[in-house]
Formats: sequence, structure tokens, C-alpha cells
Amino acid sequence: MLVVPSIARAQLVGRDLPRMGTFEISGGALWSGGYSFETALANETRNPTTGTAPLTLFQGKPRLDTATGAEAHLGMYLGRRVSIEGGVQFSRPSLTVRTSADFENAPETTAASPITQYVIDGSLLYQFRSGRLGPFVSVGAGYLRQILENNSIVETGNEIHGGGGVKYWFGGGRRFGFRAEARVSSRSGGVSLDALAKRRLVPAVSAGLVYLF
Amino acid sequence: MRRIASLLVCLVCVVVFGGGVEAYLKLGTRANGRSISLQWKQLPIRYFVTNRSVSGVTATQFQQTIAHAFSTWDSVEGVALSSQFAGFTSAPPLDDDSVSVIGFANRPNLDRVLGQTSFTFDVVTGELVESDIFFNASFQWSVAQAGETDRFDLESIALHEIGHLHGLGHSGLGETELRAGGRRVLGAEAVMFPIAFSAGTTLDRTLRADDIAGIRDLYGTDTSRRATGSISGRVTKNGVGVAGAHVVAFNPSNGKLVGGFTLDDDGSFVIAGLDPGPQVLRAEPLDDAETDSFFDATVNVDVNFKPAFSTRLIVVPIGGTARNVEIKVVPK
Ligand SMILES: [Zn+2]
Repeated sequence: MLVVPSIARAQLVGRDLPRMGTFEISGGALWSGGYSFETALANETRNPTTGTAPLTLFQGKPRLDTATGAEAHLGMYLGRRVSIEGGVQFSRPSLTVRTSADFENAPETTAASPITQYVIDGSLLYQFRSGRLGPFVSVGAGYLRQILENNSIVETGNEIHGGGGVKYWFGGGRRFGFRAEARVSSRSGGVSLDALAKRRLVPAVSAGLVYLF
Repeated sequence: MRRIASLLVCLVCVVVFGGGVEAYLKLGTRANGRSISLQWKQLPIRYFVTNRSVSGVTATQFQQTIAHAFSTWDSVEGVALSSQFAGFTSAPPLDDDSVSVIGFANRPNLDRVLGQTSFTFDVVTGELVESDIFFNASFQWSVAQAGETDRFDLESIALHEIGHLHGLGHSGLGETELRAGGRRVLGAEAVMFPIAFSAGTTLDRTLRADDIAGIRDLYGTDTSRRATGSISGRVTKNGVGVAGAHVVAFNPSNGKLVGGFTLDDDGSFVIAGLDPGPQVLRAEPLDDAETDSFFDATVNVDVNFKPAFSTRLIVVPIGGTARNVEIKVVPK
């Protein structure tokens, strides 16, 4: 993407709709939802004369916790209402396992380990802008990268997402604004604490500032 | 018979010395003030089998069962281990004759001992040069494919004793209950747990994650070592190290349990041969078997604490060690 020539020709059309070639940069705070994995049983083989079911030493409920972080986008308008954008999200959720039902009554404990998580994505946006308030919807796909404790293990995956939000433009020039968005991401791959190879749904909301140029 | 059988233990002649012994439980000795593991350096391990039969087991069946138990250990993925049947012999097991002999022996006085493994080793290098195993002919044995009621499965007990022969000590991965006259196993997740399942079962023909981690720790190939990882840390009570604690790593992704021990007064432990990834750690007192099944008297085993989990979810690195893990326990 050639930024300098684009800036040179970027203009707004009237006061409402950007024209093709207008760039948009935005960034702000992010809240990302978590999800649970299958409950894990620490099973021992049962002595057949004492029962049939495995002897469960304890159980653990694994989870990727919710997290706050930051995100940034750089977009370009392909027309008055349609734009594409690339983005990056950064957050530091914790992987946790809540242990319980201990055979020898060990107290319930949450064991946690922070991970560093990036999502690099691309989206297609359609804006319903009219006046100061501009709702939009978006769909896209991205690449997931999760770095576990001490950079020991890197897990990768991919995601598809859809969502929508609103931009509110300040002042007469309407180049600066506020952007809020909610999306749901369907993830595949990444860190897993169970044996299921299933997609995980992750809701996320973000809010920040946006600038057109 | 069932009641008696449930109380059986098997013994090893060499006990573990504290200090520096890693992971799981490997048999060790001290040389020049440091601990070294007992280990075969010359492969394949050549062994003779006695030509004695007992009720329910012919000499040929015995030899075939022993060979199968050896092959179970030899075929663990990522392990450089091999064995060779050298022939039948009339020499009894447990003679110190530089020849490894496996066979039945009458030991009616050892009324709780199914089998016993003894060693001859180089006290400087820890190299094993001979190991004999006897199975106590005072018990009823079976080689039936599905096992036989009230008879002990020879292959299961052989797998355990051959684990000792390779240099493995006992695992603490089992739960027991005290009954009149002894302990009964409720559950176990290691062939190397010191107390056998009840007669009639063949469940211990299959190695568990704990056994596999132990044998990989001793005989793992370089490729295997690069693909697995370790956890090291301490178990502490009021800030002071706890000796003789049983520490278990649990992998929630695949359910594998692998145990280790703190072997000194500092409360230090290392568990090796683990799958990379997040692991839950749990420490418990060694109260499901007699402590002398695991250690010699140099380890001041502390059983006065409650089981507890680490608050840190430990990520085992690929080919490396997750260090400085501390599990804090409180007195009972
Ligand atoms: Zn044993």
C-alpha cells in the first residue's frame, strides 16, 4: 500500500461521504471475550475389585479468560460506502485451569498463565454514513498468534469475523471521530486445553478514535 | 486369596538415594558425593530364563511372556532400548554371577512379595551389569490372554519388574486404602506403582504416561529429548522445603499424569519427559504406600501436609525446562 500518493489525493466528498482513495486510521481499547474448554479429568485406572469407573484424582476446568487490550486499523475507501481495512489486535488473556473435586480434598485452586495474543486481520466494511453518525457493518478474516509463557510455545490459528459499529464525526471538517465496534470471531487453531478440534466463538468490543485523510 | 493378593507389594533390592535424582523415580547410587542413575550402557540387554515351570505356566510360556514384556518397554516411542533372550538356564535367579536370570523361585516367607529384582552395578558409573528377577512361585500365576480369576497375570507383574531391571524405581501415582493387615489399591496410573492390582486383572500389561516418561528420562533418544520438556521447582511449607513430597504434572489437553518426587530437604523436584504445553501441578504427601517402597532412610520424608495445587499453570517448553515453580503446602 503506497501511503504518500494516497495522502496526496485523499479528499472528502462534501461533508458526508469519503470518496475512493480516502484513508482512515483508527485505534483504541479492546475487550476480548473468553471461552471454556472441555472439563479435564485426572483419571487413574480403577482396581477392578474396588469399582468400575476410573478413579478421578481431581478435575480441571480449563479456560481462556477475557482480556483487555488495544487495536489499530488502517483502511481505504473503495467507493463512497465501501472500504477495506487491515487491523491488529493485541491482548494478554490468561489461560486458567480451575481444579476441584480432589480425591484427597486439596483446596480448589485456579492455576493461571498469561499469554500474549495477536490477531492480524483484514475486513470489508459497508458504511451507512449520513451526517455525524455513521453506522457500519464488517466481515473479514484474520491470523491468530498466541505466545505462551516465556515465549516457550507459539500457537497459531485463523479466524473469520463479522460485526458492526458506529462512527461519530466531530466538528465541521468531520475528519476526526469516535469509533465503536462489536464483532464475533470464530476461531480455529490456537492454544487448546482439550482434544477437540472445534471452532471457538469469541466476542469482542472496541472503542477508540478515527481519522480520515 | 483375593484379600491377600490385594495387599501384595513387590520389592527392589536397591533403594533410591536422595539428591539430584531427576523426574519420576529412577534408581540411583552415590559416587563421589553425587547421585547417579542406574542404567544399562551395553545394549541389547541379554537375559536368561530359567527352565522351571509352575502350575499354569510352562517354561516356554514363561519365556514368551517375559520376551513380550521386554518388547513392551523396548517399543516405547523415542526410547533407545533393546533386549535379547540368551537361552534357558537351570541357574536360579538372584545369583551374583554376572548373568541376568529371570525365573520362578519359592519364597513362601515373602508372603506379600510377587516379584523381586536385584542388581549388580558399577558403583562409580552406575552402569548396570547384571539384574535378576524372581517371581514368587508361592502364588498362583496365569498367562491366559484375558487373565484368570484369583491368579496373578505374569505379563503385568513382569512389566513392573522389568521396569526395575531397566533402572526405574516406584511411582507414587496410585491411591490406596488401609485395611486390616495392609493396603489395597483403589486406583493407579503407573505400572510402576509398588502395590499390585488384585489377582485376575491384566490392566498392567499397558504402560502409562508416567512409566513412559520415566523410561524416556533414562533411555530417551536425542530426538525424544528435544521433543519433550521438564518442570523444576520446590515444594515448600511455611517457606521451608518439603522432602519426600509426591508431585504430579497433569496435562489437561490429553489427561496424562506424570509424577515425580522432592528428594532433598530443599524440597526440590524435577519432572522430565513431559509433553510440551500447559500442565497443572499438584503436591501430596507420600501416604499411599510405605515410604521405604520409594526411598532409603537418607530422605527425611515429610507426610505432614495437605495436598495442594500450584497457582501457576506451568507451560512446559519444547526441549527445555519450566523453572522456579513453587507449590506451597500447609500442615495437616
Ligand atoms: Zn516394584
